[in-house]
Amino acid sequence: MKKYFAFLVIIVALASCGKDFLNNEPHEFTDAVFWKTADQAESALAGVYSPLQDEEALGGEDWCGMEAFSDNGYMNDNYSDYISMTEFKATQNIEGDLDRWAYVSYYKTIKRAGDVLANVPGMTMDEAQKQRILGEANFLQAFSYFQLAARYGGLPLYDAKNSASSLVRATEEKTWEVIEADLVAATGQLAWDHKEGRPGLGAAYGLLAKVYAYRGKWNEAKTAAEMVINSNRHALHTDYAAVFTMENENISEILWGLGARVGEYPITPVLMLPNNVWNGTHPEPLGEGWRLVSATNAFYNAYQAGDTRKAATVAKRGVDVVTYNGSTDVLQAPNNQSDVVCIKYMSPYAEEYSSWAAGLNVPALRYSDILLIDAEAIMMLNGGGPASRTTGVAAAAVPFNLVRTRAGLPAIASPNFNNLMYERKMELAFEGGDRHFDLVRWGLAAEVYNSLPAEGTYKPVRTFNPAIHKLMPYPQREIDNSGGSITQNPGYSGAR
Amino acid sequence: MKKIGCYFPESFQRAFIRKGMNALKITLLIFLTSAFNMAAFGGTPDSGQQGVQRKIAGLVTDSKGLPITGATVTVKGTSVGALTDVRGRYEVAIPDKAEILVISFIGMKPQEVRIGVSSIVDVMLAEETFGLDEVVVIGYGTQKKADITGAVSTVQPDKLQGINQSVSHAIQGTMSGVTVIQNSGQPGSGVEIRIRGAGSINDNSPLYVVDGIIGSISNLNPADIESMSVLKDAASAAIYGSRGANGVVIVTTKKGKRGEKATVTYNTSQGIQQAWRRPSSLTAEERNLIHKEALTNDGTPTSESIWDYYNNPTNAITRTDWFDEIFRSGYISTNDLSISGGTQTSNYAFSLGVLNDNGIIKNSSYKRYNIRFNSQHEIVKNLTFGENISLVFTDQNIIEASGSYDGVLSAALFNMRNTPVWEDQSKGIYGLPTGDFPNPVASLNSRDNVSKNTTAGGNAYLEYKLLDLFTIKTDFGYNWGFGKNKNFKAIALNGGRGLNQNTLGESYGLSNTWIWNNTISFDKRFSKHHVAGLAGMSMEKGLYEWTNTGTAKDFSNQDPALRYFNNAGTFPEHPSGSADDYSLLSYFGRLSYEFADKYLFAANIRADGSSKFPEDKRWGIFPSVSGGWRISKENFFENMRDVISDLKIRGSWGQLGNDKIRNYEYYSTITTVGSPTLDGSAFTAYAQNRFANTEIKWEVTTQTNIGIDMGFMKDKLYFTADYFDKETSDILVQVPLVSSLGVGVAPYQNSGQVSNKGFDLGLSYRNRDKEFKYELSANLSHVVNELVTLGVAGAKEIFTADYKNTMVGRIAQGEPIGHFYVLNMVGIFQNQAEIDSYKSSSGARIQPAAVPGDIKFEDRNGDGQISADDRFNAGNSFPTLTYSLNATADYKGWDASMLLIGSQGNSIFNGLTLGGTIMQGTSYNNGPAILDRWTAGKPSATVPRVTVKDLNNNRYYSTMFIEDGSFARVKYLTLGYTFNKGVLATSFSHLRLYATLQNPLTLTKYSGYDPEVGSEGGFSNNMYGVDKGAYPQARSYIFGLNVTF
Repeated sequence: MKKYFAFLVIIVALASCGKDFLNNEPHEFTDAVFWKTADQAESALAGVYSPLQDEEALGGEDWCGMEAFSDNGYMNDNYSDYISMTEFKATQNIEGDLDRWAYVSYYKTIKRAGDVLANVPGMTMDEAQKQRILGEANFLQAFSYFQLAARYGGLPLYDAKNSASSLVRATEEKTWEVIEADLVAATGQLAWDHKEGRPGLGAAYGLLAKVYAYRGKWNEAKTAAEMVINSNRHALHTDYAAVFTMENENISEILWGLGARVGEYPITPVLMLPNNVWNGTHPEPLGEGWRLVSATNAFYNAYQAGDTRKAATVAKRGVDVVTYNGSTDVLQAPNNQSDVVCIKYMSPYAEEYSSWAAGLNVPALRYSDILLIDAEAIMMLNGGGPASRTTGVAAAAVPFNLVRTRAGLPAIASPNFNNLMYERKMELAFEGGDRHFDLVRWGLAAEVYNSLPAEGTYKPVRTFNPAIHKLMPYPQREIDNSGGSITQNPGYSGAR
Repeated sequence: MKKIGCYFPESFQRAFIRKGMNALKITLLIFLTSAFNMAAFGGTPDSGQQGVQRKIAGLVTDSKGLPITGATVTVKGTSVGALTDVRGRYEVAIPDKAEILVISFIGMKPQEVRIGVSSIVDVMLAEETFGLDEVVVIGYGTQKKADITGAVSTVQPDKLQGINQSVSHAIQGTMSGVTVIQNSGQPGSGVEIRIRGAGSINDNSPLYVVDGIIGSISNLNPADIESMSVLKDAASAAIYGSRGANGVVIVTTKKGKRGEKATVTYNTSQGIQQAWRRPSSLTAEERNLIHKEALTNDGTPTSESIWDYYNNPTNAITRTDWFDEIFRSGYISTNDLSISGGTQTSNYAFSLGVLNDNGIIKNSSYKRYNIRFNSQHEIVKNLTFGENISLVFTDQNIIEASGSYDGVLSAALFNMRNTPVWEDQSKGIYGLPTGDFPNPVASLNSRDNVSKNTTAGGNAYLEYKLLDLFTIKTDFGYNWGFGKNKNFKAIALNGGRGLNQNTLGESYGLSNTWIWNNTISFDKRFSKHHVAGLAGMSMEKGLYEWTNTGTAKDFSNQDPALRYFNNAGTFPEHPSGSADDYSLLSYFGRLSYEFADKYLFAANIRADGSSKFPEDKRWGIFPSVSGGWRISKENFFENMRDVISDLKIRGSWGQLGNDKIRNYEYYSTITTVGSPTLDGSAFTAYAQNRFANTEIKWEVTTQTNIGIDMGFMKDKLYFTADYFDKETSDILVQVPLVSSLGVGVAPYQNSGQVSNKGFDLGLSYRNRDKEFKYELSANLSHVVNELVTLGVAGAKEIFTADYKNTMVGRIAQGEPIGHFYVLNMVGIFQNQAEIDSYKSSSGARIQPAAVPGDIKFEDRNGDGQISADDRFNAGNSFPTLTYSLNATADYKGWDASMLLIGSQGNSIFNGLTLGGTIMQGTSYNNGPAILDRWTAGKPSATVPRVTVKDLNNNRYYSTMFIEDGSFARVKYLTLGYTFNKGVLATSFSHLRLYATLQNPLTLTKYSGYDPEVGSEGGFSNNMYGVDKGAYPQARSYIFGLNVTF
């Protein structure tokens, strides 16, 4: 019988094997094993870029959608909660798609940039490479904060060492200070030379100039813009339309373009592409253009005669000729609510419609924007500006006319603020919503928007109240998920 | 061959002594060599006693010694037999090789007697006590039902009716306190089991134990089941400690019987299945009417081009009924063959089962092949070796049934009916859908999504009985599973969004799990005392490895034979893959004591260490105690026993754990996050996408149970009632993070408390005294669920259950887990005066944009406007009451049975209301309900006016979308006939033909496809009933045959 007690012995023996048996480590990197090599730092930096390419973020719907807030365009698709915000009727932001996910994506970039900035400085690697990595991280974090601050005002600031910081909104002032500081740091870390899809020093100074302009720091804006201009590293391409083609997606005019490749996000071209371009008059794969955002007739009619940007930016059905899927003919596009569509990013589909993702880089920051910021700063420093819109400032002529004459328009010797407004509107239309942000920061949104007559049912009469609508309503889910520590903007439902 | 069976164990014993500790290796060895033994035991059953033909005579009496007249005495396996005379005597001439006599009488338990050398066999038959002597499988052992002090439900296979796609399907409605939630009627899709409500915010599925080994029941063949027990209260489940908090389902598979000749059983059933409810949508003309009315209501000028569409006569022609195009008559069949038997010292069972389920929506199908083998051998006296081996192959064709945007059930509703199925079939060009939803036929045809799984598993054990007192058992189980999904999507010209390019993605998963249980138990009766106990330990380890190929694109040829990566044009995505492992180490014990069969007491304790928690939080100890008093055994009760044959009260208290969260939660990991385009090409990207929680520990459930069992009239009428109070604390809550933390996945935190209180009732009446035998049983369960607190500072609520990017569900303090959270629709504004008088305290109109015909929403927070802050708990997604009624009857050869199930108190969010009744732009069709819309001439109080602009936001999710999800459904109706032996060829011992109607009748107010919505859509742990167009249950017409040789 004794031999069968072996069972018991086994059981007792097993009791001693517990500790290691229960230790299982994940089959993925942990903080303890990551952040060791330069390649890991590079792939962590790539992780900072990756959220920007999401369908709703910089590479997609929100970047396009912001144009619907201005007088240039409207939301052609049925995103009713988004439309209600663009019509300044929303009492809160329960939009569940474009704006919602763009917010999430920008914060992923902010956090990942923060982690790179916290971990990479202590790593051993080539110093130049390290500085570039840190510079790009600083730039991308600033860019993302900038996008969100322009929409919502003060923001929760990511702090790798203090998660509580993400649960409350910093003041608007503090938020812009962080953006500035990130960019100032980036200007000390980046070089003029950069590879495709990455920012260089031109992008850092350029965005810094824009940020100073948003804050009304005109001397600083001028200095930063002229760092770019005087570097002689950047120039305008001769043909405005050609800037938005695959061949030129990485020219020096593009200070920073978000990288794209065929078959992958970002998908700006298909988002703007009209639906049913030929309506049966020529072959095409039906129903492919998402026509998310389109242009108003008012925008189409606002072009000055001879402005070559018009044919590069918009086309009117039954009137203008476009090239698409191997055919060149008068545009049909019956599924757009207005007569006008944005064709700025249509060139990848000229020969053949390929797929959702045509692979065109997103022109996130262009040289002409910085030239106009320089001109604006000079005007502001010389008696021009929104308050004295007809005051000509000759000193602003050089950067101003570089942009204007490239568009085929005659130079203006002493441009005034009205001239500048026209140039910014036409030069930067359908590139992420500059028109709306400009009108808001100039304090002219109410004047411009509220005087527009209704156009169809897609662009009704709107009432912009600067006290409320200068900022968008804060995403409700963030308020809910914070348990109320993140607060709503003034004038909206639930605001304190 | 027989020698192998005898000699092998001796060599094993020697090996055992020599090598001592290495039992694992030996167990495996036995496992492998057992295959050789099978032929021996399977082929020639031991012939037992042999002799010349002779007569056996005897007396059959009842338990009081009174003779029974008319009892049947037969020689087992033959037609030889006799009846007892008025004195209870019989005489029967037995043939050669006869082994067993079977003595039976109505109202008595049949008894088998082995024929020995004696020619006199007297038999005392016991009265059928309907289950009290029934042996119930409990954790790591068995117990007589009469002795149970916890809350345990059981079901026998003869209660399972019709065609059951899985074991979970089969037990629906058979046990009280057990709720089976059908997630979809899609062939091969999952079913969830909930025992006594949702105790946690996390995974609430119970623990499954198959033949003593923790595992899964999803691929078990229902035909292989011998019995199932469900341990509902803490005391019963406590022996499974850490993972018993949501209850335990114990399955025992069929075994052969010792000393019984080989029995071959073949069952087949064949059925036609159809959608039980046939939805419809507006014809083209009706659609024109509605859309034009909406445009007119919106003041859209008739000059706008959109009017051209409706004025074009070709768009008024109804060409297609999309529901006809997607539904079909499905076909379902099962074929099960089993062989079982045994010798004096061994028994075996083998089964083969094939399920073939072709669903009611085209291209959906599921096939499953089950092979199972088990045997037990007493290799020397008191030492038993046994094993179970199971092989399962499944093959599932998956259709896109229920996606919010791409499900064919939604697409069939929302596609215009003037659109033809084909624009030009010869060129493969589909009718172009106008909105986001694909052409349903294109979606079905272009998706080639096949999952194939193979599972091989089993266990082998050695059991030794020592001194008739101790039983020592070691049991090693191993499970290997491999699954592959291949998802090809072909180009469907004009098919709609997402069908414009072809793609192929494959994924593979390989799982390896082993578990080793070692137990020692004892059982001793002395005078009136009965003491039993168990001590044991268990080790378990699992590893799951997966690979996802990423999507390849641009196949130049879509021929089904060429849908492999070699023929893809581009490979834009990186493959991904990783692994997950876990381990669990447990020690447990049980002690039970009974005195005089009257006073029952039991205690359990289990300690579990789980790799899912950090080292200092790893171990949890889970105790329980229970007691019972069989009052009916008391002397003072004697006079009442004629009426109340059994009376027992039970009580239990215990604690259990739950660790059903992801592995490695206390690590923060850095994983691949897409591949951005940098420097002109794809770049590998990494980021931290979740935070760690190093404080994470077990979730603990404390449950108290009070029960009463009562039998009347010799237990013909039997009543069981349990009240339970279940409180779960330290719940692992994954509180949604603010996006500004920049991670996609929220960490789990121990927090929160959930309470479940309720009762389970069971009532049965059996009458088997006469030739017409019948049995009625009813179960009823009631549970009240409440989230006592979320416990996380600042977090009051969690929003869940996304429908088209808006959360419709909520988990919040003081409310049941998973309720719907929407605006309250008060009614429809009938005139401008009603709108004007709906004012806030400041005198402003609350709904300034409304016009007559729009929905009036309740301003619940009184802030003078309608916003998300006015949402409220508009209904529970989990039923508060579930019930079932089971009736069976047999008369001579005929048998009939019926099962009715029902659920009460649950609501359903009908996603199809959006679009079905409320317009979603002019790109979509609507359901017929929209014809009842409000108009000035024909006011409605329930359906608002039609509008595309919808300035009043009628489309906001409100109580208009919430419907009563209660239903009563006749699940099965069966009529069968068993042929009298006389008419059968002698080789048959049993032949039964039957017909079953599955889901013949459903009573519900719910207007969607099916009230059994379940949780299709992926928020299974806390939210049910979000109907995105759920695949409906089928109504089936089934014919079957059972035959035993």
